[in-house]
Amino acid sequence: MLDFKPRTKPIGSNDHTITIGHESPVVIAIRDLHYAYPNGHPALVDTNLTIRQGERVAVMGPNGAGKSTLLMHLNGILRPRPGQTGCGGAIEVAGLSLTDENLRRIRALVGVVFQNPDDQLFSPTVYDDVAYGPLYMGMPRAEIEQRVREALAAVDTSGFEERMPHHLSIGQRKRISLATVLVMDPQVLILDEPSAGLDPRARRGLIALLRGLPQTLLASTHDMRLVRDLFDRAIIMQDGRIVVDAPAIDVLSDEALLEEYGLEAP
Amino acid sequence: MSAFALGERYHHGDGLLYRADSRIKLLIAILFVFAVTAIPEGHWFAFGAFGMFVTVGVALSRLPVWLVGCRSLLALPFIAAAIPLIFTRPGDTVFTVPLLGWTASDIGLVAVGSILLKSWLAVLVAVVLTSCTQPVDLIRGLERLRVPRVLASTIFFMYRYLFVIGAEGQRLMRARESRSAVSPLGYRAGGTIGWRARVLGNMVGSLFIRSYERSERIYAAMLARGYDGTVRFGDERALARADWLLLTSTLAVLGGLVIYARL
Repeated sequence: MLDFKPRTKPIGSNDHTITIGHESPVVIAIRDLHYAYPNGHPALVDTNLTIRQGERVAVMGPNGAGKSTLLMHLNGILRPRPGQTGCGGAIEVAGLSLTDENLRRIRALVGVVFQNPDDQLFSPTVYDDVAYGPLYMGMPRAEIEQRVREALAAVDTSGFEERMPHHLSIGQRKRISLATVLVMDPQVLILDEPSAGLDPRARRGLIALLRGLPQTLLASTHDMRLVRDLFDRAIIMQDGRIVVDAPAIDVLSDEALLEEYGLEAP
Repeated sequence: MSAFALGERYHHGDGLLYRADSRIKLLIAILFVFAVTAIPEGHWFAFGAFGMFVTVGVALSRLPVWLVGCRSLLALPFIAAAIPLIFTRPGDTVFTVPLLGWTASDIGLVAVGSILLKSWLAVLVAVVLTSCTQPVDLIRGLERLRVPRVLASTIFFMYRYLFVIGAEGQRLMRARESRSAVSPLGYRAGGTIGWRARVLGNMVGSLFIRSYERSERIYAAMLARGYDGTVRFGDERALARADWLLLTSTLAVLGGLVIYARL
């Protein structure tokens, strides 16, 4: 385990969230992460972040601030490789350091839901898509069937197995996308813009659904009301750096701070 | 993941060939390909001369030699297609493949060598053309050379949306990669080859359907802006004297070579 300084600010607790103590185990530890794209443009600079089990962390900031780049590092889709200029640092997930050997084990622990459900869902039927992860893992058929059923039930889409993704509404597709990672029983959920493109009803449904999940949650978002309703910790990124890391309630009530980083109060 | 990382063929530079009119460059490249194919098999001197021609082109464009060399490897698959000729053309035996007993003929070897050189030279000239001409200029060049509008528009849209679809494919691969995990319960991961092939096939299929749907949306958006079947580019630039000079001198060299080689 990497040696991390304890967080300086206590994590606030909104009425609906679980209070996380300092004794909760660290699930994500990022130290001195740097990343530059092949064209040399730095996307992440000096990034340090510790996330404890059960925390719900919102990552905010303008487009191009490095939010997605940060999230893509957490399951090794993007990785600093030795020799790449402007890249470096260390990432640990549940005590496993992110290396070639651990990569596929970490992908079982970290479920990533991409912003566009059409990218997430690449199979002809909902069943094929939700079953992809367990099938790849080599689970026995009976267990796969049961997991798929449970995952679909968890996102309120029971009985959708034989439906075709392109015939579903965007809200349903977002839910199925979530099911495709819940089925793998991950410890951490990474969501890229979970509420983007949803109508108010679908959005409220998604928030209620996410609230009921026990997983550690890390999500990039521009949706301040989502942050208010779901997250207990908020990070603001700008130009590849984490510039604010504080209880969500404090960040959302600090209008001067929001103004400074181009955000709006909910 | 990087399989979908498409790159532009255009290589930024400022050599003489960059400034030549795209119509002229296109014409020269096409004439070159025809001229090379008109050379009889085994006329090594003529092939050498065409090689010199390409060398001059590379020098005039000031493209890096390694770049042209790497990109010309595109011609490699032709080797596989041409190799059977070594054994099928009748002629004097040069060597025999042990075990299989196939005999290679001298005429077959000359034929294969010539085909390889011809295809490699043709690819080389295309590499030089695409590396030192902006894609949009190439398409405009085609239009102005009176290539049918439908064909030119098709190439234009292919170029415009190739990268969009490539990025979409890359995002699909990322999503799949993110869920390709090893279970902590210790099952053997990876699935069967047949299953993986089916997943990939489904991905290609859905990419196709999405591209098709996208094309309908694009077409609707174009109609909404008054599209009537033609893509209009800006006004036509007249050819400069240098362009005419380039064209006529190239014609003379290529024509001379073909006549010499066929006499």
